[in-house]
Amino acid sequence: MEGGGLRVLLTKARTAVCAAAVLGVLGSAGCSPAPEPSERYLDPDLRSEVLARVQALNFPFDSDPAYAVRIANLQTRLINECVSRHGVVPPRTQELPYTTEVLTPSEPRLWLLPEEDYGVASALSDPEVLAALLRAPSADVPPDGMPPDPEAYDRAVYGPDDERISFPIPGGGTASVPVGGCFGEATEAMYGVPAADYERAYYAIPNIRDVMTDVLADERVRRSVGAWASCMGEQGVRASGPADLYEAMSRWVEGVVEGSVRVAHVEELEHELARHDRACRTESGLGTEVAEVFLESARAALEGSEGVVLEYRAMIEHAQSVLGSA
Amino acid sequence: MSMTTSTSARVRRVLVAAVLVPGLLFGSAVSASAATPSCSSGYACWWVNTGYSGTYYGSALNQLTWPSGIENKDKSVFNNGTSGNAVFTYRYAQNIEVMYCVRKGVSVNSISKSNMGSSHKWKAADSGCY
Repeated sequence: MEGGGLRVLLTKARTAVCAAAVLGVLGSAGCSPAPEPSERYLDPDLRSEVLARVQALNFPFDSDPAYAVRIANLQTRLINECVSRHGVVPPRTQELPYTTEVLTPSEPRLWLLPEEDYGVASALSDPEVLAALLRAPSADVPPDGMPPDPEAYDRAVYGPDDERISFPIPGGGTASVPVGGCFGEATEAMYGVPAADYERAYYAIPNIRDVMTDVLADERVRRSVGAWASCMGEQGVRASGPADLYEAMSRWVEGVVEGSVRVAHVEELEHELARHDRACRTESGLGTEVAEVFLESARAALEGSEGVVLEYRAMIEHAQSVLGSA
Repeated sequence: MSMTTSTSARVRRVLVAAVLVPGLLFGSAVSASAATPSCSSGYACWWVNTGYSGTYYGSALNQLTWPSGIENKDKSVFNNGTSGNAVFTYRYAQNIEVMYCVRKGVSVNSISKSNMGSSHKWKAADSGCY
């Protein structure tokens, strides 16, 4: 990092934080001490710790990306075998292929584990990724087959009474999850417990989405996000937080799809934005602040739900053993 | 987390829909009060109102851009796909920035990140999905 230039940036960021507070933008944050610049978030040990917590909160999907596809295929096979036993013809479905295609980083990774770039140009360099983006939607192949008798199929899948469990979700809504019929049977076969028990555990364990919501509401993080936004503004980038960078990524991808931007140019734009982003994460202290608050929140969430986390992991291990013997 | 258990008779699945292209549905919900929303097998459906009411948009395809009838109007959703895929809804076209994802068989009557969908994709779930 270029020390002198970054100190100038820091002074500007601090001024902006207090000015914003005077205007009431930061609410209760006031003119409290601005976050200190820090590069600690780049430390390999801290990044490893953050990655381990990300993986723990998205277990086993983040550490074993193939698991998601394998368990989805197993669920489909179990449901369709059960539906057939009930005399109903299931749809013709093909096994989902495993793919590593990632066009943009996930939001937790964007916030917590910044890289030298966002991976957009790299993804667009893959002919298959580009071809999928250029394909007209109407020419797309429906990923799901259609059963010959949809009503009979749904009745067999969900059961004649469509037994469901409802869970409250953030924002006041409710998620309704099937636990009866062939769906419930498949869930029980996969996880070794009644479907309702699995779903209760699934909704009770801490997940990364909710932990990130808490992290981003933390006052220290909000203060450093304000400083980061001011710093980015000084670089000519309007963004209220790192998630706003998706807008730029969207423009790049759209430009490539429309043929108005070359992938090589996206690569240049991407490196420039990532360079500003990283400098501002350092200067504003955001990189380190968000990593540390995340570690605290993740630790508290996982330790506070240790019992159900262990129950859930035992269910996943059962599923992994079923996958291993399938 | 607290929860409630409900058992309801399956509502008859009738969709008043215009088929625009293969794998796409657009129409109006038959029942605003049904415990389980109506959405044909193989499809995911999004409604412009909470509680699976009002105009809906159904799709069995991956969509890189949503039509104006549903874009930034998504308030409730049901994944009635027949593969094990979840359906991911994105803030931007070209499947960029996940807003929420819904596992197979799951419905959400009031989306917390509502009115922000612009595209969707079917893919294997992760633990952040409803």
